[in-house]
Order: sequence, then structure tokens, then C-alpha cells
Amino acid sequence: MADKKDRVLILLSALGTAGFFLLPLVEAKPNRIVSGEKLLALEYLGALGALIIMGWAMLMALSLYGTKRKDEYISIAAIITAVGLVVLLPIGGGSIQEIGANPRISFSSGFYIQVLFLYIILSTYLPRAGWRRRLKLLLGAGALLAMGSLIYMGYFERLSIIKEYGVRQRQFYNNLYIHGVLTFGSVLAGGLIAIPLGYLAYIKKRLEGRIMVPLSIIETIPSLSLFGILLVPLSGLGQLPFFRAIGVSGIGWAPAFVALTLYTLLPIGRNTLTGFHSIDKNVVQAAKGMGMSRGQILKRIELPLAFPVIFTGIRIAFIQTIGGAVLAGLVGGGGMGSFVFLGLAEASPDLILLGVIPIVFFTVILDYSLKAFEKYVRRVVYD
Amino acid sequence: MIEMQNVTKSYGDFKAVDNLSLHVDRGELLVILGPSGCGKSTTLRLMNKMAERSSGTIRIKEKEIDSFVEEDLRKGIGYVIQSIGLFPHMNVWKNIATVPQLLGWDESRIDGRVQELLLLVGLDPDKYKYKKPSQLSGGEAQRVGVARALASDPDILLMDEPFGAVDPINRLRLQKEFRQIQRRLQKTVVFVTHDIDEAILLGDRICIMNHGRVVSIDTPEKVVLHSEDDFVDSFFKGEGILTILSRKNLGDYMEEMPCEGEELEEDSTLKEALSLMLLTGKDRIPVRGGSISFNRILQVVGRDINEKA
Repeated sequence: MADKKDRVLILLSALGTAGFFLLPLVEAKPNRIVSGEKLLALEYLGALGALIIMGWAMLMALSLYGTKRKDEYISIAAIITAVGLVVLLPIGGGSIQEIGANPRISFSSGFYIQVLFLYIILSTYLPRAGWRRRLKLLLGAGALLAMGSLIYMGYFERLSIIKEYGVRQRQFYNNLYIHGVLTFGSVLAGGLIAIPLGYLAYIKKRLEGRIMVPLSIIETIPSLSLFGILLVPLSGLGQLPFFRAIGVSGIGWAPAFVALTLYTLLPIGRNTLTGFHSIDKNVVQAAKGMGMSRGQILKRIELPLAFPVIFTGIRIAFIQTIGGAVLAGLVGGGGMGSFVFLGLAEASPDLILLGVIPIVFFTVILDYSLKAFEKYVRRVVYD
Repeated sequence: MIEMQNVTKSYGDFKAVDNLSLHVDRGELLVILGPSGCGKSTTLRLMNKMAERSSGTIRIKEKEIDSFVEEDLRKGIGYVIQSIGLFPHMNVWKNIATVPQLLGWDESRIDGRVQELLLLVGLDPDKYKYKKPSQLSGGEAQRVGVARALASDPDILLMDEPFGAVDPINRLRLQKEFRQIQRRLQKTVVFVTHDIDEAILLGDRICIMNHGRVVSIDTPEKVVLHSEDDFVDSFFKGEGILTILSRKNLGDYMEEMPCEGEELEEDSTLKEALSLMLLTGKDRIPVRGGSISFNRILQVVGRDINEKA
């Protein structure tokens, strides 16, 4: 206990504080078209800014004087600061009224910097705080619920991202739905193709290279080129009555779906092969020696034992696809990418955020729940 | 029960098993003993078609081996391998129940059988039934492996160095227990090992193999004491006689003459009696219901030694 100073936290909280004082917190516009004015936190929040300052000061103090339950206090202080930032953001306080009757607020660098450092602090100290898993889950769920209801009640309506959302609500849910269908559909199709391929590579050693190498090559093709490659065959296919009826053509959902499916083949196929290879050969020998047929060995022994590893591949494919599906917006396939590319074209960061934030949100949720399921499966199968 | 005639198994130019002939009688435990790479495991695997012979004939239960459906043949033969190969995702119950389930037994019959087998191999059914293989010690796993091989009550048991991966103390215990089990069940067993003591302790007959050929096949006494083959002699290095004594139960040789001192059990071996004599310096030690003398042991050994090969 010679040195109670926590140098890492000093640095992190100093940078966060600097972000508060020196960088613009928000950009405020009187309406959508006029370029806005960047406001420092103190200008924008006025006296309310003191709350955030107090949060950073607490963190700073904790970095200098460690107590017994330091990790816990740091986590609490960081959570309070973060909550304060989010809650105060739409209220403003200082010069906000001068901008106009219906100002549009968008995040600026000071906000991002503070969120970034709060995130680093939380991800460092929260695991050490020794809180129960259930408590953390409850906190997370509570935060989500609170955010959801605040958005629903119109608390954030001054934020321009919410304004964009309000204007495009129907489009938003439609795109979200398309994004989800594209993601699940591609991973499902990828699994149906790649798992048998991986198994084939496992039982026929000769074919391993012939199967795995093309999958790796596909993975290296940039998505834009892949769309280009798919354009011709898919528009050809679209001439046939059946495919025309389901809407296959060189642009739209079809190339996006095909490309995303192709990209899932490597993670799923590779993990399937690894999963089967990881099975103890003696176990298979024993199963064969007991009189199991090839099919029984696959069903009762190999598939259950390889499943956790295959499932890891499916999880990776999911995470990769949910982000990758943004590219569907590029070829008119819909999904959250529509907002992103529209935002890029209109130089509207809020529109981009409207597309990206839900993706990040669902990626985190999906990753978390799939990992939890994976852990459960591993426990059931291996212990 | 098992008959092999002029069987050869070649991998390319290499003959793993070279024109081998042997037979195993019903209820007999034949040990195949030899250095690594001598073809003993391959010989065993030919018997349940885990390996396919290149030439020769194999008959199982008086029937040509090719007349069986491969899977059915294996379901009727217990098979234990060195690494055991317990299914890691199934608990002990399910591991043992595998073959009965394949044979379509009903649940209650399987449950009774699992119970019975766990007791047979000395594991408390209630305590072990629902354990996963990862929760078992090496010795326990090996017992489960034996129980699993016996599950459908097969006439024939093939064991490929089943106790090879167990530590020496547990190995001896497992060997002795297995000998007891075999005395009760009288299965036809082919047991592959490179452990000489194990071979002499367990085998009704020992088949010594080298370079894919049978060098010698006979009772342990004759193989150990009366071999005229240099390879066999070099294998035992003159110490086989002590292990021969470990085959013999005190109960079969003890005399009725009472004697003072701490008693050995009837199912102790002559080797243990001899060790005790060397330790205590006495030439007669008590056995429950009688005693045994040093001279008696010499007599037994002498009879084995003088017996014509």
C-alpha cells in the first residue's frame, strides 16, 4: 500500500475531463439544412455541467486515494457520470434557447471522447468490483428499459438522431426487419451449406484442400467486387420465371443475400472441420468397435462432440453478418445500410448513426446471448 | 470360439500379421504378448473386423467371419482399448448402455444390467451412474470401460492393453479383480499386452508374437519354464518363475497343518506367501484354515519345472 495512486485511472479520468472542458460536446442546428454551431459542454449545459464535472472529479479523487472498495466506487462513479451525460444531453441549459425554437442536437467529439473513456474505465473496473452476475444483468436490463422508455416518451426528441428516427419510423422498422431477415437467412443458408462441406472435408482427407481453399479465397474477395461478380449471373437467373417471381435480380436483396451467405461459409466450414478433428480418435474407434454404424457414430458421437466448436463458427458468422449486412444498402437490398449510405450521400452523420447504433446494439446483444448459450452447451457436452 | 488359419494382414509390402494361425477355446483367456509393433493389436483387430485381413480364414463361433454383418459381429463382441474411449459427453450409465440400446433392449432391462455391471466391476451404482467420464479417475474409467464391454453379455471379449494407461498399483488391483470376474463369467477372452507379469497372471495360455508371427503358444508355465526359443527366453530373463507363483492361489495348495501367526487369506497367492516367508524368516506361515510351507512351494515350482514341455 505504499503507493495508493492509480496511474491508469489518473490518465483516463484526466483525458475524460479534458474532453469535457476542451472539446465541443454537441453540435446544435436551428434546422436540418443550416450548418450548426459547435458548443463546449460548459456553454451548452451551463450550470448543469457541474454535475458532470463532479463525476469526473470523483473518478480523479478515487485515482489518487484508493480505498478498500475502490473498484466498486469507481464503477459507481463512472456509471453516474455516464447516466448524467445521457440524461443532461437533451436538456441543455446554457445557450440552447438562443439557437431556435426547435433545435437539433447532435453529438460532437467531446461527447464521444467522454463516452469512450467512461467505457474504458467501466470495462476495466466493473469486472473487478465483484458484483454478482445477476446484479450486472439487472443493471444492464434496467438501463436498456430506462433508455427505451425515455426514447418512447419523447425525452430525447431534441437529439437530431431521434428526429431522424421520428421522420423515418416506418422505414426504420422495415429496414430493421430486412436486416434481421438477411442476417438470419444468410447464416442459416451458410450453415446448411458449410456444415456438410466441413464434414465432407473431415471424412475425405483428399477433399480437404479442395473444399477449404475456395472458402478462404471467397473470404478475401472485397464485398464490392463480389457484388460486381454476382451482378451478371443473378440478373441472368432473374430472367427465369420462378426467380423473377421471388425478386431475384442483379441488384436488391439477392446479391446481398448470396454475398453474405458466401462470407459465412469459411467461419462455419472451418469450425466444423476443426470440431470434427478435435474429437479423440479413440472415442470414434471405441464407438466403431462397439458395432455402431457410420451414421450412428455421426449422430450419437461425432456431432454432439463437435457441436460446441461448430456453434462457435455459427456465432462468428452471425457477428460478421450482422455488420456485413450493411452492404446490402449499397445494392438496394435494404437493411440498416440504407440509412448509412443515404447519410453518407447527404453528409448527415445522424442518419449514419441511425443505421449504425441499432447494429452495434444488436451485435452486442447477440454476441452476449450466443456466448452464454455456447458456454452452456460446452458444459453439457464436455463436463 | 475363435479360429484363425494362415491369416496375413499386409500394409503395402509390410506384413503386420504374417501367416498366423491360432485358436481360442470357449471360456479360455488367451494373452497375446509381444514387443510393440509385433502385430498383436492388429491380430486382435482382425477378430472384430476393425482391420480387414489380406488373406487366410477367420472363424468366429464356428462361422466364417465374412458371413456376419460387420456391425452385428461387433455388437456381439466386447471390445476394450487402452485409452478406453469412453464417450466424454455421456454419463457412465449411457456409456454402459450404448450396446444394449443399439440392440433395442427396453429401458428397465438396461437399467438393471447397468446396475449389475457396476457392482461387478466394484463401483457403487448410485454414486457413479450419473458421473461424466471427466469426473472419473483412470482406474474408475477403466472399470467402466470393462463394464461397457460386458454390457450385452457377449461371449467374446477382446481387450487391447486395457490396463496399460493405469498406474502400477491400480493396475495390479484391476488385474486381480479382472481375474476374479473372469473366473465367474468364463468369457472367451483375447487379451493383448506387452506387460509380462500381466500376461502370466491372467493368461490360461500365452501366445508370444514377434514380427507378425507366433513364436510360442502354450500355458504360462510351459512358455516361461520350458521354452526352447531364444526370443522367448530373452523376454522373461529368468524372472518368470516368480510371476508364475502369483498365478497360484494359496487355497489350492495349502496344507491342513495349523500354524501360529497372522493369517493370509485363501485367495492370496503363492508369491505373496513366499514374500512373507522371506520377510519373516519363517518357513511355514498360516493361511486361514491351515498353513503353507516353503517346501510345499518348492514342490509346486519343481513340478512345473520338471514337467515335460
